[in-house]
Amino acid sequence: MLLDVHNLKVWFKTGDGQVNAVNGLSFSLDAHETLAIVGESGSGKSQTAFAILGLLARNGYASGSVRFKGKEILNRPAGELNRVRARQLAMVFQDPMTSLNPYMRIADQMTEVLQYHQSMSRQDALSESLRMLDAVQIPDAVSRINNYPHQFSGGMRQRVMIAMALLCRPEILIADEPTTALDMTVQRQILDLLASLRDEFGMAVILITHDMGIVAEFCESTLVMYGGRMMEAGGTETLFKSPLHPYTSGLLSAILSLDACHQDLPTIGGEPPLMTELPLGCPFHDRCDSVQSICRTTLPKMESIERRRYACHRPLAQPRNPP
Amino acid sequence: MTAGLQIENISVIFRVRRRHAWPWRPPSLLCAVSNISVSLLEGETLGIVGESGSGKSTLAKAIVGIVRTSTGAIVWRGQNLSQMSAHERRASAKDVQMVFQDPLAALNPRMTIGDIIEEPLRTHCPRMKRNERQEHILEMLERVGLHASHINRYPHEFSGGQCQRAAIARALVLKPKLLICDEAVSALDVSVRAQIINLLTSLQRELGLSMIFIAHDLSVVQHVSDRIAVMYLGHLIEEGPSREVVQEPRHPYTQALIESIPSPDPSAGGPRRQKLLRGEIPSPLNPPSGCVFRTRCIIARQACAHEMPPMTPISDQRRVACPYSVEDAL
Repeated sequence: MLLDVHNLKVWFKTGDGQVNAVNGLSFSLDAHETLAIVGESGSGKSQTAFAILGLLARNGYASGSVRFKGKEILNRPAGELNRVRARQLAMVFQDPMTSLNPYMRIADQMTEVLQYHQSMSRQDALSESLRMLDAVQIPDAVSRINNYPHQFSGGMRQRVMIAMALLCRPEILIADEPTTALDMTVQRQILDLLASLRDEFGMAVILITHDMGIVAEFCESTLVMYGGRMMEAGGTETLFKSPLHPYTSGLLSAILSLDACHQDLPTIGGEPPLMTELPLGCPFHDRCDSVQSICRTTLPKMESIERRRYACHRPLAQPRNPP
Repeated sequence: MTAGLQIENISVIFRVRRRHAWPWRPPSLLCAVSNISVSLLEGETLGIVGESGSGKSTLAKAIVGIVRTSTGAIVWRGQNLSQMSAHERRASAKDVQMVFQDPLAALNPRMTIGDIIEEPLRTHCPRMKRNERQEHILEMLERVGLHASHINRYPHEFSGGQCQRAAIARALVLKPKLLICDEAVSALDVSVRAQIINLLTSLQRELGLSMIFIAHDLSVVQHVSDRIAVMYLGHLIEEGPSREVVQEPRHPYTQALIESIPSPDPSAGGPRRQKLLRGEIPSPLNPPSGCVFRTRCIIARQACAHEMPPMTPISDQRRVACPYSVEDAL
């Protein structure tokens, strides 16, 4: 087991009271595994990633345990974390424009990583950076490396971000909505690139997204989050074929396919809950079609059957394992 | 059905002054929309798809009159909107309303939802009585699925989906005949997106609206539209009934767009697709010669560099701006 997250809680102290972003999340990631964390905005998926990497905002706090290869990394001081960050755990952020330093040439931003983490000389770092830019298929990397971020298009910037994250050959890559800010055709190119790099470098990938279509194509296992909790997790194929949690099935039916004709779309009624005042019981009960009185009062326990886990009083199907 | 809106050969050209250029250098010309003709029947929905930079929002703004067209005519029910003065245009503004992409940015944060919905009535129907206006607002709120008690709240008290409902209420309070939705659901969460799409389609049926629905996501567009127009770098490259365009796309770019939609079936998996696209969209300041798509097209040939192929009808209802077919070329 490469990464083991146990009972992770993240909360923020704000003027409006305490915001509970993640409420007791547990999952693990094996080497070479690709895990999708799916959820709507405000479900706590990004904050989970930030907590793992120790990147929470100043008013954010985390508790629980995050073990990387058996070693606790949650709430460690920066000096200790920096031995793991970038070298073994790297992250690609959602918005490539705001995540690159606009005042620095790409060459300087990239070599900085290698000079700091691997004590390379500037020359070596530069040639390694060039190799990485080639790997992410940036045409004419030799001259482009001296450009500033604003001279790149959105898709190219995201490629630079990916190249930067891969510089130290991390074992886990966390990609937080890497394609949300991009056009459809560019999204396709970036996803294909990520998939081929994953196989080439043998990384484990955590892909954070809200798009079930991307999950289906890219990830072996899926974790569905809602209201800062895990609703359901399991292999992508079984989860798509027979979702146990009503929320998962709602998300799946909200996928628009090209075959669908002009009829009303199935929806999940209502709005996501406010994270400052999470409802009692199951966080999804307000919007659930098969809600029972127990759902309003008692938080469903996490049931697990081999590789599938779910938290629901009334699962949609009798959980079974695929043969 | 009669033609409601007719767009004839319109172009929108911006003059862009480059930074650090000599002051006596003339500004460069950026052709955001070039020579587009498209029409919309009454009660019909036209979907416009394209990537960012394809000019789809500029086209929408030209129809509403937020940007000026350089050539061509926009004819709405027999009146040429593009030649009207601002004063004359006001009367037709009642008929044509728009919903924008970012619901929070489109609503004034210092006005209550009630004031926001009331403002178009104050502007366009100055003689309307106060309580009459109030009635209209309440009716609109109910129609878009908001509660009457929301009337005195401010936009920041609402979620994105609710703000978009308020923006739709503002657009519809004047009872327009044509509603333009510019990426109206792109900023919303999946579950809320389906609600707003259903709301828009049901309102369209009830009120008999014509609609122009702009988005970058083809699966959303095809769900709501009767016809689809595909744009690339300011040019219209394919147009036709939405089912046909999606099932038998003819232009290589349309095919690539359809290709890039992730398939929601995990068992289909694996890299099975053929890459139909390379590179990135060129800068509109420096578009390629000839066919604008040729730099990314996998079947581009020499002839493509000479001139932009015109939109050619291939059946009664379909037009495409590419004389070649991908299947033949590969």
